[in-house]
Amino acid sequence: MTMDTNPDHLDDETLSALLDGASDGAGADAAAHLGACDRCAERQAELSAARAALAASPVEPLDELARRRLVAAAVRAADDAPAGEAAAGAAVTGRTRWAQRHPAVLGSVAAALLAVLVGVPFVVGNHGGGSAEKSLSAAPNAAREEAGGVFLGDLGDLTDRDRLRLRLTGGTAADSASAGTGGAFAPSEPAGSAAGGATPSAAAVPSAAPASGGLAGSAGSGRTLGPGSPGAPAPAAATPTNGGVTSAQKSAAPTPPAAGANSPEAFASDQPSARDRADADACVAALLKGPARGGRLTGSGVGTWRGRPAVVAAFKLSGGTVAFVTDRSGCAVLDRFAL
Amino acid sequence: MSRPGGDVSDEALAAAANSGDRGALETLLARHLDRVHAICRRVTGHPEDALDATQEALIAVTRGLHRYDGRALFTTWLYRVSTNAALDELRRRKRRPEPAELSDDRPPAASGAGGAAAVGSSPVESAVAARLDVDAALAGLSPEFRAAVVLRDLCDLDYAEIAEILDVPIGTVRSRIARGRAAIADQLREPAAPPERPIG
Repeated sequence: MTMDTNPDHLDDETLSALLDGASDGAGADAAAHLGACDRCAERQAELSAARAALAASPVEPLDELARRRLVAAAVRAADDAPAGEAAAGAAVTGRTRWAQRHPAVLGSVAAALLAVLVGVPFVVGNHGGGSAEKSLSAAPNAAREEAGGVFLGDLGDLTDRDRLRLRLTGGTAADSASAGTGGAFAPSEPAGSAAGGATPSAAAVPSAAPASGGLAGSAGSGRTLGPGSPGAPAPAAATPTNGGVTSAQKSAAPTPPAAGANSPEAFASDQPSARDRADADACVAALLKGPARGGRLTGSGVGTWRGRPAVVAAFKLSGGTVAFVTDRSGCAVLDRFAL
Repeated sequence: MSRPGGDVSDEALAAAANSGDRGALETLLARHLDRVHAICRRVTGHPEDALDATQEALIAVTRGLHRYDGRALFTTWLYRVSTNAALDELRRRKRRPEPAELSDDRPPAASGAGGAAAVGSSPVESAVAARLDVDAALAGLSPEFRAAVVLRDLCDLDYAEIAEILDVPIGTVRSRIARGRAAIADQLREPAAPPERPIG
């Protein structure tokens, strides 16, 4: 290397641009200087090392499940975006995020709306003579329709087809009416709250305290994309984020429940977690590409099938409604039956 | 690993996705997922924030795909969306309180053992050490500088493309990259003395 005899050293911007082959008109002069100046050559080597460090430093790879969740959540978001919102672009994303972080507010609003929609006919029905029967008989059907595509949380044992039929077709209404919140399926039902409490099936039973949290919760847990979506049951102490990988990843390290709460295991069984939802969504997406292609999701949940973590999802297909039980990690179909 | 979608171009997949082909959309997203994640990871400097940003970016892509007109490369548009998602995530992170204990999750400052020695001259080339060094070095840059450096040195975009993505003049890109690299070089050389506040 030659001695440093030129006092007009190149600045970092020029040296950096030379590295990238993006020097301006003075590039030839700068290159000539570089060849004759130790100091500038040394500085350029440092800049080059910085560039190489960044280029060579690996980013943690995403695992396959994370990849599937990310893509599935994004595709689902596209499907669920109303036409007006689709044009809103980034604003929609911001709104989604807001909704995810304020599930309680949106859940309350949804609950109030549903209370009006369901509760008013119910009250009118109680005092309206002949119209009462009509209102009350229509409510369960409306509520079942409302429950379409709903995420039912942890359904426990998924080998019992009869029980699944009840849950997936909204038949839980009868169970809930008789058993209340502590009914046979209570472990999978989050407590009614402003953030989204009881399952939608509770909405089918207006007599079960229409103005209570149960009904409110049913509104909040309607068709939702993810754990942070409006009204979706938010895992306590967890920050609701999007319905894809993020929430699941963050929930990989379980947040301890608040003081006085049950064990983390009990917590997990009582509150539909973001991870449950994400896993179910991933398998729903896989089913829609396979055996349930062209179908419409009517309900989904998680649980165990012969000891294996599993997902159940019901789809309205051309030949009727069919439930699929899949392996939770690979989404392979373990069981299928008509509802 | 084979490329999702084989030889079908991004632009063709985007057009098919825009016409309602769900499979094309999934293929398109899967094809670029790693790069989107890498951008978000480097710009946010944190694994979980990167996942949030990645998800936001993918959602923004799916919801905004109808606005992609095919005149520019799909990747240019994609990188713009990804960069903006990562920068947005950083802004959100600034606004939300962060428990002190979570700071343990943040990349630690480069130590002497893993500092400059890990860059280029170390025979071990420990991936983890190098990553931590780069994270720590990038953390010293302001997000805008970081994005410029990442788009150049990670995505290998030219200055004009970066200028388009960041919506700034080429001269600004050139300056940001140079100053960003200089800061990284200085920090890798002097790992014990990180800047008190981000450069830029």
